[in-house]
This record gives sequence, C-alpha cells and structure tokens, in this order.
Amino acid sequence: MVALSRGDDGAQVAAEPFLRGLRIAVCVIAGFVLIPSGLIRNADVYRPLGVQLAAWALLAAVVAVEAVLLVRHRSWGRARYPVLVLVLATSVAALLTIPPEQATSSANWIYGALGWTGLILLFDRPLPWIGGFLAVHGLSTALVVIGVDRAPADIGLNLLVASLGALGFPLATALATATVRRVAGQAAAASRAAQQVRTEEAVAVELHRARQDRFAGLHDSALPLLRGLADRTLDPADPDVQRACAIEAARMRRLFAETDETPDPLLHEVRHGVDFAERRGVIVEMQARGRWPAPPPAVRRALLEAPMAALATAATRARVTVLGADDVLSVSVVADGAVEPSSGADGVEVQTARDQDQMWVEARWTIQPTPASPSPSSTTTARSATGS
Amino acid sequence: MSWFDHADPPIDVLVADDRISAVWHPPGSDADVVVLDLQLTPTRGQEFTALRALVDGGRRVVVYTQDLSRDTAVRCIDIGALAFVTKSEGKEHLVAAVRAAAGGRSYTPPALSGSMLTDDAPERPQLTAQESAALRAWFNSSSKNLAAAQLGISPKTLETYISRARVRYANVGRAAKTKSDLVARALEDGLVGLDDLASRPEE
Repeated sequence: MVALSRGDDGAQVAAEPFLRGLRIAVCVIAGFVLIPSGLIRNADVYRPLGVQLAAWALLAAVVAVEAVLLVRHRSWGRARYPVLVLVLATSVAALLTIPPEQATSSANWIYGALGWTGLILLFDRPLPWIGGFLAVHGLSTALVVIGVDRAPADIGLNLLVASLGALGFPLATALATATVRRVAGQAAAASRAAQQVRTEEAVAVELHRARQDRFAGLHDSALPLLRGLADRTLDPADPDVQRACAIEAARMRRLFAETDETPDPLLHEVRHGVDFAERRGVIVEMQARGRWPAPPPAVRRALLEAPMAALATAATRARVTVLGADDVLSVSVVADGAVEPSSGADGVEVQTARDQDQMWVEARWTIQPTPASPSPSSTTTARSATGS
Repeated sequence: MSWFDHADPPIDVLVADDRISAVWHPPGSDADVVVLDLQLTPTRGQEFTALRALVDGGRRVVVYTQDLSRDTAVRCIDIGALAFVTKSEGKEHLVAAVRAAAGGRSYTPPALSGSMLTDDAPERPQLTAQESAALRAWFNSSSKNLAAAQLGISPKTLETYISRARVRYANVGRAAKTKSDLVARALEDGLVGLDDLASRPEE
C-alpha cells in the first residue's frame, strides 16, 4: 500500500472528502448492524447473558467514540491497538457463551457486527491489517463451529453464507478505501512531478534570459573591437588594443563556461564581482569546480568578503576560483596589487599569502551536513601566511 | 608560436597544421611532442578519437584546448595525454608542459589540478590528504610559491605531491604506453613506491 504523507498537496487534499465519506458510511453501517434484535430474541440461549451484554456495550462504545472522532476530524491513533485487542478478546468470549449448535444462527449477532467495528478501528491502516483482522475473526468462529458434531455440512454452509456479509462486505469496503488512497498517492506524485517540471522550466527560462543579457553585452564591447580590427582602424600591435582583446577573450571564455542549470547564489555573486572588475579593465580568469550545497547567507557573505575585496582592488589581472571538494568550499582570488583584506567570520577561514606583486586570498568553509544549522561562529579562525 | 620561439632553450615548431594527418608524416612525424587542440576534430563526439590514435601510436601528447570542463580534462589524461592545458593557462604553462612531455613526464597545470581534485568517477584513484591539499592550493593560487607557503612546505615538495597524484591517475583506467612510462619513471625517481600504486579506492 502507498504510505502517504498527510495534507501536503492538492491531489491528496482532494481525496480527503471521499475517504471521509467512506469513514462515515462505515460508522453508520457498524451502528446499524448493532441494532440488538438478535441479542434480544435469543436472550435465553446465552450462558451467561452478561458476557453478551458486555460485548454489545463495548462495540456500541467503539461506534460512539468513532462518531465523536469523526465530528472532531480526529483519528484513533495509537489507542486503536488496545481497543482492537479488547474487542477481539470480548468477541471470542461472547462466542463461547453461545451453544455451539447456535453459532451460525441469529444468536451469533457478533459475527456480523465485529467486521465493521474492526474496519472502524483499522480504517486508515494498510489493507493487510483489516484482512488479517477479518481472517482471525472468521477463523475463530469457524473453529467453534467445527467443534459441533451434528450436521457439519449444513452448519458449514450456513457459516459460509453468513461470512459473505460478515467478512466480505467489510473487506470490499476496505479495498475501496485502499484504492482511493492509492489513486490519491499517485495523483499526488504526478502533481509533485508536474510542479517540479514547472519550476525547472521557470529556472531555465530565467537563466537563459540572464545569459542572453550577458551575451548581448558582448555586442557593445567585443563587436566594435572586431570591427576595428577588420577594417584596420585598430592596430593589433597597439598594447591598448591587445589589452582590450585579452579582456574580451577572458569574458567570452567565462560566458562559454557557464553551463550550470541551477541558480547558485554564490557563483552569481562571484560573477557579479568579476563583471565589475572587467568593466574596470582587469583581465579576469574564472574557474569553478566541484559541488557544494548552498551555504547559509551569513557564511556566503563571509566567504565572499575577502576574495571580492581583493578582486575589487586588482590592478591589471586576477584569477578567481570556486572549488568544492573533500567537504571544503573555497573562494579564492589571486590578483596583482591588492590591498590587505579583512579576516574571516562565521566559520569561514581566510588565508592570505603574498609573492612579490601577487596577492592570494583564499576563504574556506568546511561544508556542514546541515547548512541551516545555527551558531557556526564557534569555529571562527583567521590565519595569515606570507610567501617568499 | 612565439611562446615557443621565446622559450629558453627554444622549442622548434616542426609543423603547425589544422589537419591531424600532418603529425603522421615528415616533418610532423619527427616531433617529440604533439600539441593537440581538441576542437580540431570536425565532428562532435570524435574529440577523443584523434587523441587515442596518437597515444596508441606512441606519441607524447599535450592537449591544449578551450574546453574547461572537468570531465574532458580527466578523460584526456585517462586516455594518455601527458598534460592538459587550457587556453587561458597557455601563456604560463604551455611551454613547461611541452618540455615535460618531451622528457616523458607529466605536467599538471592548475585547471587540471582542480579537475583531478573534483573528479567523482568511481574509478578515480584514492589521493592522500597531502596530495589533495597540494592540488587544492595549486588550483586556487596557480603559484607554486604561494601554494607551498600556505601549506608550510617547500615548492619542491609541493611538486612532488602533485606529481604523485598525477601518477596515481596514470596508474588507473585505460592502459597506454605513455602512462606506463610515466609510472615507471615515477618508480625509478622514487616519487612513488609500489605500495602507493597498489592502493585502490576503498569504495
């Protein structure tokens, strides 16, 4: 059977009225089969009568409680199990106070009633539960009947006919419930899948638009350069032209390398910083490798602060890398002529090294199993290393 | 190419052609090293066929490409390329890669270093913590001095760790002469021991 998580989407909510209707019907039927005509008519055959009355009172109480639960939109929860055991035990006790030869007569009113009471208690459980309950019920009655030596064929047939109503109808109702529940489960899964496709599509459209915007930017910067080279108004030997070409080439390489299909806020902000540096005339190489979960916003800020500061102060060239490997996410910038940036925070470790005019700033965060976990500041460290 | 002219000692370019066939007859067949651009192949999906043919023919190949993807890089060194240099790294690393390849050695530029580190293929070799740290620092800093300073080791030791990681890659996957030569040379040089090479990923 399909196990459902409750009330988290439309298709399942749509199935609720059907299931509730079925539950009300089961409660009403269980109430009707308890009308004590058989009990009253056969009051003199029971030995003793008290057990029968107690059994009837118990089943009636179950129906009454179910009615209250229905009104309150509640389920039996764990209380069902002790009640179930009590009901089964009482029904066996009641059966034993009926003379065996009367076991397939109207004196055995409990045979027809117990199935429905069981269905009340097991309504929201998987099908095998109610199947098992009905099997136990049928079997216990059959055992008592088989103990009777007189006319076994006749009495066996009676039992079979009685079983149709006593076991067959509750089982059919349980089957219907299970089917509604399974269809609701499938509908919920289909609805979730459709929702996911819609989300992915919306994200893809958004990414495509953002990419088109950036490619459109090439028109304004790369095309005049190419045109100038083609009509010889720009000299390829001119260092300024060479530099402009290098910047455009780096930008194009970066755009061509953007193949990610999900929005990554970290990469988005890094690219923003790279764009900004390029507009200042800095040649930027950017490479992203590996995988990482989205860090919490505070960690993202801490990861970006120092490297982006180095990028913003780069003089002519910068190399930007984002690397997720071995449970560590790092953002790193190597740039020339950068100022000393700030240290780390929020669990992010920042290391700075310098080699002649090259400044290397690396911010590292150890990927937490649950990115949303609070108070990462306990692991805050900041170190500094200086190269030769 | 002017990078090769200005290299010290200079590197002779025997032939530069946009057809692969040029490497199979003189003067191309005399070259110590083939620098291959993957984008040369006309059909998509055939990028690696030319590389495989060259490696199987016993040629030492440096792949020089626009393609930044991790999978392309790892695949090329698995086929048996001695180095994988992206075009944005050409100025700093192509000459060094060609010189290393001429001696039958591997060369690992920063981008390839990052690709090896983030490779999650099931057959990827198990790297030690030192090797991983070296690959990370080299990828992020693209400077042996800076990377070594951060890890508190000498640039020479850093190079050893990177070469070791690279030799592990040569020791897994597809068999090729350039790869087995690389492993043999690493064993001779004492860069790795037989015990190192026997270790396979646990997973």
